Amino acid sequence: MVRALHVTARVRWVLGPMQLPMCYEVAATVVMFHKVGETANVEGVDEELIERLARGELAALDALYTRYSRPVFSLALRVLGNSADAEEVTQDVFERVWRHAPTFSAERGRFGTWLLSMTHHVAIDSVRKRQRRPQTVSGEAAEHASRTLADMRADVADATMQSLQAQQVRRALRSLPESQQQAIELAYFGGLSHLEIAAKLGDPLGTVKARIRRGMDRLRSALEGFGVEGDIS
Amino acid sequence: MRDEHVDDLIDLYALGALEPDEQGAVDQHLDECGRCRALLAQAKELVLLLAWTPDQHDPPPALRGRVLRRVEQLQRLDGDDARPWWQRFMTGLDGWTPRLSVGLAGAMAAVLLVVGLRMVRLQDEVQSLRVQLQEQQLVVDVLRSPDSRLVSLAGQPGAPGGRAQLLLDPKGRRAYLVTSELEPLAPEQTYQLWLIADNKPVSMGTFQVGDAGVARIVVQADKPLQQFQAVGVSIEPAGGSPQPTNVILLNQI
Repeated sequence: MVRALHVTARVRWVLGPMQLPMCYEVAATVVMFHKVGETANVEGVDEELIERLARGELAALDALYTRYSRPVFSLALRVLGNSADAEEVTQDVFERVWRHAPTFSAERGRFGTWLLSMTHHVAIDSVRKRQRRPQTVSGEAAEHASRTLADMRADVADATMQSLQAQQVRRALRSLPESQQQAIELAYFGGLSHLEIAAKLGDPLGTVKARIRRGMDRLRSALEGFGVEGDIS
Repeated sequence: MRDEHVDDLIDLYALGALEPDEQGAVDQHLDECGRCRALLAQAKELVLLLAWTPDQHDPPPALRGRVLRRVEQLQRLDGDDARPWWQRFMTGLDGWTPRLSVGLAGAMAAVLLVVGLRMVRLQDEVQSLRVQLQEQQLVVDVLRSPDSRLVSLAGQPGAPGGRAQLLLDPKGRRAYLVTSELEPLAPEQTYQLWLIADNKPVSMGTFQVGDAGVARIVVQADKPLQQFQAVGVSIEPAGGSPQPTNVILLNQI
C-alpha cells in the first residue's frame, strides 16, 4: 500500500501541479501491484472503482481491467483451452461487470472473488454450449450466479487471497497425487460431472468420487492456515 | 436423503460435479440442514481458490481496447447507459422515491384521463357509424327491390322553400327520407312527417334539420307503404301535433 501511494505521488510530482484525473492515479497504483505479481484489493480500491463504474465512469472499468484482466483471462484460457474463446469470455465478463456494477455489494463479498466466480461460470457455460451437452449451468443461471455468488461467504476466501500468494494455492493443488488433481481439475475447469469424469478416465464411479473427496480434503488441510477451515463434522 | 447428511456429496456439489437429479436431492436436504449448509459454505470457499490456480497469462494488448469500445458502444446505444432499465432505475433512485411515486401517480392519472376521454369519444363515433350503417343498409335493401321508387316532395304555395325525397319500396314498411334546404326552425317549432291513408294523416315523427337544411329520417310504418296515398311535411309547435296544421311539402306516393 505504501509503495503504491508512493508511485501515485511521484507521478503527480513529475507532472506538476495540474489536476490528475482519478483514473491515472489508480492506474499508476495498479501498475505497481501488477509488478509485485499479485492482484490485491488494497483498502477498498476495488469498491471505489466499482462505485465509480456504477456512476457510468468508463475510466473505472479501464482500471479494473488493468487490475484483473490477467487472472480473468488466465482462468478462461484454462477452461476453454484457446485464446480466442478466452478473449471472448474476458470481454463478456467485463461487460457484465459494467452491467452489474450498480448491484454489486462489497458487504456480500470481495470484488475479486465475485469476478472470478463469474468468469468461471461464463467459461463453463461456454464450454458446455460448445460441446452441446445438456447444461446444468445455463446462460441465465450464469447471469444469476454472477449477481448472487457473492452471497457465498466468500470473504474468507478473498481475505485469504490477499494474504496468500496465488502460487501457494497452485502449489497445494499440484502437490496432490496426480489422479486426485486430475479429477478435481476435470470437475472444476472441465465442467464435467463425476459420471462424465469416470467415463472419460475409464475408472469406476466410486473411485472418481473418492479421489475428488480425498483431494479436496488434502487441499483443505494444506490451506487450513490461510483461513479455510477443516471438516467440522 | 432429506433426513441423511450429505457429507459425501458436498465437495462434488461445490465443484458443480453432481448430476442434476443428485443436485436436486442435495438441494432439498440443504434447505433443512444447517450443518450441511455450513459444510457447503466451507467447500465453496475452497473451490473459489481454484480460480486463482491456473498459470497466469497476459491477455492480448488489443483486448483492452475491444472491451472498452464495446461497453462505450453499449452506453451509446441506449443514451448514456445501456444497462437494463431496472438497474438504471435502481442507480438513480436514492432520495427520489417519494417524488417519483407522486410523479408516476400523476402521470398515470393523466394518462387514464386522456384514455377515458378518448374512449367516450370513440364510443360516440361508433354509435354514429352504426346509425349510418343501418341507414345505408336500409337504402340498399330498398334499392334491391324491383319496385323501389323515389318520390320528390313538392313545395306548397306560400311555403318557405326546401325539398325532400322519399325512397321507398311500396310493398315494404320502411322508407328513407332526405330533406335539403329546409330552414332551421325556432326552438318552439318542429318539422313533422306524415303519411296519409284514406285522407287520414298518420304522424311518422318530428325532426329538426342540420347544416344546409338536411335531415335523414328512417320512416317505419305499421303497414305496407302502398296502402298510403301521400306523404307530407308540416311545421308544427314543438312536440308535434295530432293533425298537420301548416303543410309545406307534399306529394303522392
